[in-house]
Amino acid sequence: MNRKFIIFFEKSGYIKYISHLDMMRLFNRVIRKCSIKLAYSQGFNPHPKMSFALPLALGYTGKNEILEIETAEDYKTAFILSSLNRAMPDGISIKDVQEDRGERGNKTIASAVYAGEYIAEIPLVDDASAKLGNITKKTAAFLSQPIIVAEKLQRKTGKILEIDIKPLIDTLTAVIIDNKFIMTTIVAQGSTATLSPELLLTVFCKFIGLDFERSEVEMTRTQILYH
Amino acid sequence: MDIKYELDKLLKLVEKPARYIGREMGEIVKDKETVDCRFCFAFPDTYEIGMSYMGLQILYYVVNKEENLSCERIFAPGLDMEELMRARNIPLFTLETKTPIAEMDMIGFTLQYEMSFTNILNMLDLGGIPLLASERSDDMPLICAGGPCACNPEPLADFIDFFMIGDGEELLPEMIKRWGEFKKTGGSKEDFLKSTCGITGIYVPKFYEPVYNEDGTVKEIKKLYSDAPDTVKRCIIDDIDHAFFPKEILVPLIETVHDRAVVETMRGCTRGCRFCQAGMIYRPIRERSAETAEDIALSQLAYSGNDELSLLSLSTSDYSEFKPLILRLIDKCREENFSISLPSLRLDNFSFTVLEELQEGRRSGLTFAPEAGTQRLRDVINKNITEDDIYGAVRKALELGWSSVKLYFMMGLPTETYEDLDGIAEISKNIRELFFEVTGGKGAGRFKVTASVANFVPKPHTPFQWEPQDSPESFNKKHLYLRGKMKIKGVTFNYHDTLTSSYEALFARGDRKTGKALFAAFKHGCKFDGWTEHFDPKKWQEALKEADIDISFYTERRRSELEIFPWDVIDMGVSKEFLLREKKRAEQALTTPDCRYGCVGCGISKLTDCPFGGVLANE
Ligand code: SF4
Repeated sequence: MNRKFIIFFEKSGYIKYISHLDMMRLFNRVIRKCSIKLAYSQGFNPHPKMSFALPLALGYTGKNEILEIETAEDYKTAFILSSLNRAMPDGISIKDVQEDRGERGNKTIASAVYAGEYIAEIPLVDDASAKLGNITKKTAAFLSQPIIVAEKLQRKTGKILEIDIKPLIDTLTAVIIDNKFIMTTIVAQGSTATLSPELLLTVFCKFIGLDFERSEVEMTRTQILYH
Repeated sequence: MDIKYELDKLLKLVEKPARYIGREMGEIVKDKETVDCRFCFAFPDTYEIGMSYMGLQILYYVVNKEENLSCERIFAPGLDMEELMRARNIPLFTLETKTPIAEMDMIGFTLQYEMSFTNILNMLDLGGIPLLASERSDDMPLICAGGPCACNPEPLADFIDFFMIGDGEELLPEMIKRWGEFKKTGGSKEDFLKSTCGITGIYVPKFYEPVYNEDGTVKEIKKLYSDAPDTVKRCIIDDIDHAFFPKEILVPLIETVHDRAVVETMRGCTRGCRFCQAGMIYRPIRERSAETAEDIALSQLAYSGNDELSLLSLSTSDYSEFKPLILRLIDKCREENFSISLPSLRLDNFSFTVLEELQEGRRSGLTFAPEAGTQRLRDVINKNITEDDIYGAVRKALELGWSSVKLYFMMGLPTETYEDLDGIAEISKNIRELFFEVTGGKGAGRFKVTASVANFVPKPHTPFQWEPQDSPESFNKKHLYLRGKMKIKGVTFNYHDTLTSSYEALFARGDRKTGKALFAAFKHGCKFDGWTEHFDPKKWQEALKEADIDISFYTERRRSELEIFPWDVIDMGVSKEFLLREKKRAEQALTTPDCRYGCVGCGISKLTDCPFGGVLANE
């Protein structure tokens, strides 16, 4: 009997530097190693029924990532949890496994995702925090603009487009703790509309007057939100 | 120095950052406080290539299984990473503990390919370690090297403290252990190296000094330390069935060249192809029992979750237990759903049955290595394959519905003429025609013949070690000629870059003087020379000039039979007399049979017992 499971896991430490594709290969391999039989799609080129709810960019830490699988046999959730945990390399830890009994009808979580919660951290040089002034006020000012314009490269044409990202921002706060600038946000993600947290960070930091190098930003996705 | 914070920034800027993080399944991270000696395995090419090399897997575990030793890894960083590391002063670091390599106790480079030599120098430099052994102080790690290219260690003699010749799975941990113990006593490197002189397989270059004739050839190899052996005998493990082979393996997190479980069934080869260094330097044949091989294979598959298994040896079907092993593995692969790949398989009836079983409809390509285009030249090189063998197998494959044939040849072999090149085109054409004969032309669009032609590089410790290599001009002329001949519909023709083959030949038979050229090339920024897109002939020409090296002296010169070779100090087991005898037979196009069926006296039995004889050798 085929079963569907939802696997919640964390991706942190050095392993955050492997890509979405590598994550697919890793999970596929580890599931195989644990002798868990995945169901395969029909057709000329069958592939295992396994997908991530929302791909995580390379270099991001993921606190609560979601993988959906369909198995060809019945397994206990506790078995999947413990055997995957034992086999996974350092940096991937399985937090929870739930059986998907069709509460969302036949819909996958992937198709129900509408947003992601992110935390961006940037270490500040000594006097930067003083220069920034009142972050809370600035954040409020940022959000009260009638439109928030971001420049986005259109892949096909190579043109730079200006878009209004305001409707795509659900929440946004910023604080400075221990000489670290911390931005927390929920942005639209999913099939209908998507805002990259990095794009938001760029626009926001420009507004508040914070210069940063991309390589200094620590990005963490804390939550995937779905209906 | 804690480089972890800085590293985190770099990883966000480079391509394929996972090359530098470690953290694979199977990785072993030890606390430095708990070990006596920290060893660093250095692969002088990219992560993706190094991680596909079985030798790394063996040595990694054979060292790490010793509780008080550790083995960590380094690879040559990509150019983007190197640039950032240099700009931000981050030294080359190990994947396991991110330790700067200068803090390790011992670093060992594996020498798989001459064109990776500049990467060795570059990696040392990136680690802040002086390149010349003579300039390294006692608190710097001991630098060693091993692997097939160590059979002529001379081009690297100035940079490496000691070489390990031969099988490494016992010798390497032994040396690491010794160095750990020696360090505790506070002894110097010099004294340590002296103390290793009695160990089979250890070559310490600083205890020897070549003296040259006026014409540049070696006059004699002078010993500078009296207890150093006159010749260094290769270290041979007699019983590989009981030798260590990993059941757990490092499983890369990113795609590498090969991503599969591997078990070595056999070491050595008896066929005696005269151009083939591996066929000479790994003698005698030593086999792993089918039970052990199966056990290792299945354990590795279970551990890694891999879905592909490969059997490793120089000639898969010569393994005496090939049939029972492969039949059992075929059963297993059905049950457990993995695929099996069998490199260097001889295409007899049994192999076809096996391939048909394994591929079940997904027939890939058929592969042949005739190496030369005519029977005469194949006799010269002692490549025991006839055109009837090829056409017979191709016919059979076509009948079974295979749709592509790959052919491998060499160009520039001793005694080669343009007729031999015509033969390459001939064979390719005949296979095309055979296709029409067998299938009546159905599916002609899909049927592909690929002929790849490599440039012959004479290698030390082979019967062709005396032979000249074709000049680059001659190679180019031949390539052009063959390109014309190979304009055959349905046939793809590939050939290898000429210049890199000349440089490969230079270092294959190079002496210590060529080490100066390596050093100069490194200074000019040469690295990844085996990659055509990185090889820079201009820089290399400069380097040769500065080091006063005439490359043709090494590549295009026919050596006299009496000449003392720089690598004569290394005794690989196969005797110079045997090699010379084979060279003379080659000149007369006389073949020498596979010695499995009768010893031909290669001399290896002086070093160890050969399961197939050795009688002749003692005559
Ligand atoms: S000793 Fe004789 S049988 Fe053994 S490898 Fe050498 S030639 Fe072959």
